[in-house]
Amino acid sequence: MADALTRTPALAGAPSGRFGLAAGAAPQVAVEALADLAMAQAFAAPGVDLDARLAGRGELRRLGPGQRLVMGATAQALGDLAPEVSAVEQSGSRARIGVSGPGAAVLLARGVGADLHPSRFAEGASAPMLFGRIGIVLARQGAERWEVLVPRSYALSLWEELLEAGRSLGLEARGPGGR
Amino acid sequence: MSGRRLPVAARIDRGRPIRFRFDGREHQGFEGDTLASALIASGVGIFGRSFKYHRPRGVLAAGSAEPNALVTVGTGGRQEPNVRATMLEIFDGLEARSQNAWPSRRLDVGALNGLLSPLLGAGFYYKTFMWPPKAWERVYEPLIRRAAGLGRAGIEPDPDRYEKTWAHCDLLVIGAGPAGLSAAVTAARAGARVILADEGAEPGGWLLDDGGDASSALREDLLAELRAAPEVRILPRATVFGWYDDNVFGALERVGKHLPPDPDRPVERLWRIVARSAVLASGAEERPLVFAGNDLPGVAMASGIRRRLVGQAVAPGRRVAVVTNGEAGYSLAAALESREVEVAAILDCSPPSAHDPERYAPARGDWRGGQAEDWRGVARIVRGRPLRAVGMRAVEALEIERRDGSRRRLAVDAVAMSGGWSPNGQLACQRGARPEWSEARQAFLPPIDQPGLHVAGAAAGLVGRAACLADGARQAVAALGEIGLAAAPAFDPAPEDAPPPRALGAQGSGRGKSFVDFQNDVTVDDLARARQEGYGHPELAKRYTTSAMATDQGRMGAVNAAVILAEAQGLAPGAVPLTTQRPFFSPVSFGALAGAARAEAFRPARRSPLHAWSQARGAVFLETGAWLRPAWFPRAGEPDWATAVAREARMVRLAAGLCDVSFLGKIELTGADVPAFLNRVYLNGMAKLPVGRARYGVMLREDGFVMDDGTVARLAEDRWVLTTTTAKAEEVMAHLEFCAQVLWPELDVRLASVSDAWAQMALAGPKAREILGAVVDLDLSDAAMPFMGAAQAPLRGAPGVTARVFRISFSGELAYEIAVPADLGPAVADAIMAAGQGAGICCYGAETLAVLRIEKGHVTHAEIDGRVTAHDLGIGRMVSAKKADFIGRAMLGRPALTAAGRLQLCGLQAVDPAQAFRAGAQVLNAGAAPSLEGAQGHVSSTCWSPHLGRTLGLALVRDARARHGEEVQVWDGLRGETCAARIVPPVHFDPENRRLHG
Repeated sequence: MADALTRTPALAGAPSGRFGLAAGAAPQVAVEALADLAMAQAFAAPGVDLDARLAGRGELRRLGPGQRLVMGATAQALGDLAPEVSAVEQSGSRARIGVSGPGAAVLLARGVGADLHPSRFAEGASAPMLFGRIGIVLARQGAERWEVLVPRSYALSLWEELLEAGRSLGLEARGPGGR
Repeated sequence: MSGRRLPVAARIDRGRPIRFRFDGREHQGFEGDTLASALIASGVGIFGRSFKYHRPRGVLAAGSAEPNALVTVGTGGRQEPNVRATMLEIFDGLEARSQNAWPSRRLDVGALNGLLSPLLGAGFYYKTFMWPPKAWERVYEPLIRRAAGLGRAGIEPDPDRYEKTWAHCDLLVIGAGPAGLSAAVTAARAGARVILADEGAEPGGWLLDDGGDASSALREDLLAELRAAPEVRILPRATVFGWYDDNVFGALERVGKHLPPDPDRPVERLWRIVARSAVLASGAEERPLVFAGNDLPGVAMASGIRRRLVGQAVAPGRRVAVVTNGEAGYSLAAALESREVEVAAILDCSPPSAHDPERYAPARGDWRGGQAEDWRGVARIVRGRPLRAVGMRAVEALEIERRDGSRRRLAVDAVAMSGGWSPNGQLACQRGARPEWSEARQAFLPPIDQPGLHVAGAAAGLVGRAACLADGARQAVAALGEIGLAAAPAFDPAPEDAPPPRALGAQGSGRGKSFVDFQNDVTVDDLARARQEGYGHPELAKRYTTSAMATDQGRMGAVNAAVILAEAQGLAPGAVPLTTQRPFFSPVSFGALAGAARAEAFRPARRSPLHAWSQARGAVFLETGAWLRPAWFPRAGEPDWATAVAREARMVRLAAGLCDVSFLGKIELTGADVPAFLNRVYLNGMAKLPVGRARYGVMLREDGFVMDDGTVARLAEDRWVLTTTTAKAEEVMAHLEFCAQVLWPELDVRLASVSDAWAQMALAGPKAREILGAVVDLDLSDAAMPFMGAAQAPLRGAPGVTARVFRISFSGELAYEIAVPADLGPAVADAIMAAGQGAGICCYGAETLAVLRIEKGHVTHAEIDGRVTAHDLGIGRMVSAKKADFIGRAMLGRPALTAAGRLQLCGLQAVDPAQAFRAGAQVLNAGAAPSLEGAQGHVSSTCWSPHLGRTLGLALVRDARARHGEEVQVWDGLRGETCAARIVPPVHFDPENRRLHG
């Protein structure tokens, strides 16, 4: 009887536009609402090589020792790995924000205390950390391209903080509806 | 007086005039000027009045230690007091004002304090304003505060932006003088990641002040190399103010202080620099000489005069006396004379023991190794000491005493003084190390090589450019070696120039005040008095006299104070130590410390997946912790919030209501040992919870008090979900992770916080069952889904999606909580509202939830306030007697936790329906006088109950369970209100729980 239920993007309502000094020039950094993905939190039983077991199941984000976030996978889809790997459904728990451009690392350093130098945080690396007071998972996807996973409840606050922190760099924001 | 600008080469851009205002009058300077240099150039001598005696003050130094030339900049929200004119680069439109002067800085009434000075010395306030004691707070202190002090902060909100950032490097170099540049180049050549922070507008330090061609060329070369190095970042206008744990340094960058306001550019940026190692090359501060009138406008540090002479082509006066105990005075005299400024005399006050008449004399032609200017040797060299600078508003003459005892009066309009150098080693002493006196260098030296921080160049007491270049390189090699990086020094070892022969205490005995701490108006006499009265220890003298307590933190005066205190006790210089160093090295604005965290952005807000949904329905939001929670949903025509809340509460009990409870903490557990784990963290039995059931649970802290409550549901053989209160979600998660990882690592338990993955809604009221049935595909009959049942069920309208349904109730009604994937939350909420429309559903907020739960006697953290036991809450019977152990059990039996007279949970009802009481009020025995003495307890929660038609509350009252029916008074001491109330059982409404079961 019910109509089909529609899904709401985690960053619904996040504003788009150009912000800051470089409004006329090329912005130094782009902040973008990335498409929501299914995700599952995978745990390893003691002694299990989690990364090996999860190979091919999706991109992995480090949450801690023996814990990964599997991007694009539901907990159900990882059910066959039990009992050595157990999974908890986390789809929708985090928004994905893309931060890219020559000023991307500069912008991130305004909230993140981790060392983002390529020798310390190489492409493909990810780690949980704080941006200001918000817990995030940061993943480096390219020399100047990053993915920020932020708890859904904090997504708009982080979006606003990024826009504010990026004003002196010149920033272009693309919310979920933005082009 | 005007026309102090010399027609000689300097680093100002004369093609770019800049107009600004000082005390309302327009002035003109050039790009490259500081406010100090521009005002001196246009003939301004008095910059403001001093802290206590309102003495006219000019410019003493040149850098961030400047104690005298403090001005207020900007107006309105941008008003900033105590800006050092020596650090402020001028810009078009700059507005600055003098401080502490009334009616004007030239004619100031407060200067009468100078005549009263015998009464106003150190300790004066403590001795004079003792009686009556109450008058201190109300009369004396406000009066003194008005008369004393420097600038006043603005009270309007600051419209400017401030930024914070982190940075990381292998080597942080603090100071970009010869030693710093050399250290940075050494590190850059080794491929290290380098941050070079310098306080000045341009890096270079002494290489800029020196003014010689060789220094300029060297500076250009080194900077060019650093700018070309990919891993080097140069931070100009950045003061490193603190050295913290883990080798993190704090630095304040003046990003836009020298520019007109811009909405997108921060005025300041606070850096937190994580450095694997660091070189402190912060140079040295020139020491003032202590003689009468040494604070008169026109008397200034030789190094400050030199910086303005070389950098901005500004002469200190027409005829200058140079008073020095070392090479710096001679060097300045040369620089002055080469620019056609008359030097009346060089007064060399180094002591006889160090007397070497030819020390500088033979060098007249080539006295700095041929690297500096040509000494033309016009000025006479006089051996002796300064007695007194004479003048009313500016120096007019200097009285001196020759070595043979004869006295002379030199007519001059400027006095340059140089009393040797105090290494800027403060940063190296911020983490417990203390500076030590070096007899050889006549200075307090910081420890040179602590792990993580090496001190180089003049900051280590070295003298001379070549020696500093070599030392910077050497210390960089050492610092990098410490972190396993090999480097070769960029400069070879080189000998030092001669250090000043002797640090000097008080000089003049002429009449008048001899200042030691200029900004706080502390004189030699004040230090003498401190010693006389038993406060001779430097830490006590500091607090008694306020010496070294000004914004320069003793950078100008602390060494002189220590030497004078030592002399007063008949001790050698250095026998009295310096006072403790602490951050900040230089003042840091509150704006920079706050960064962007102000107003709405003070802390990040958390929003439920239903936030926008609630907003669209007109919710009024309430901050609870970081969360923004809907408090109520007003409808048109409702006069106030109470009406809306009463209506919502009635509708829930009459039909149905939907409430967002996504705020609850949600933790999912799997693993073979979860039953054992839960049994240990809850006080009640959890091990045998069957699949498809939920159970209320209470956790204790180790000390036996209640930590949190919530529900545990077992959704599958190997899947549990527990809820926590909103307030304690993070704390409980951290507690459980600690238990799993540290206390019982042998248990197979995997914990995940899933708070953000689910939108959770409470659907409560007699119509809840039929409404929910339209949303989930689940048998909701009592048989299939009894009270405290838990199930997973397909969500209608979303193929393949499973909802979690729990039959639990906070409202006391037939109620369910339904959790759906967060992104489906708004759609499901819409579906529920649509399904319930005919039944009369409403949405309700946290205030209504509170009414419903208070009516039912359910507790929250208003009651679980960290001081209550399970027995206090009336749930003592839940404490499992069968379990061998659980967290908090061992401490439960403590006498204090089981004693009679503890506060117990009860209900309170206002006797008169027209009267109300509030949470926080005290419960008194009937007839007792309004007083905290004899208070029986306090009210924890209250509400107006539309169902009982009166004010209800929950309270913690002494032995309450034995006192049901007793009438008491509720006393609100803050508002002076008293209300008669009756103690009742906590459950005010439907005590048999009939409604719960539909």
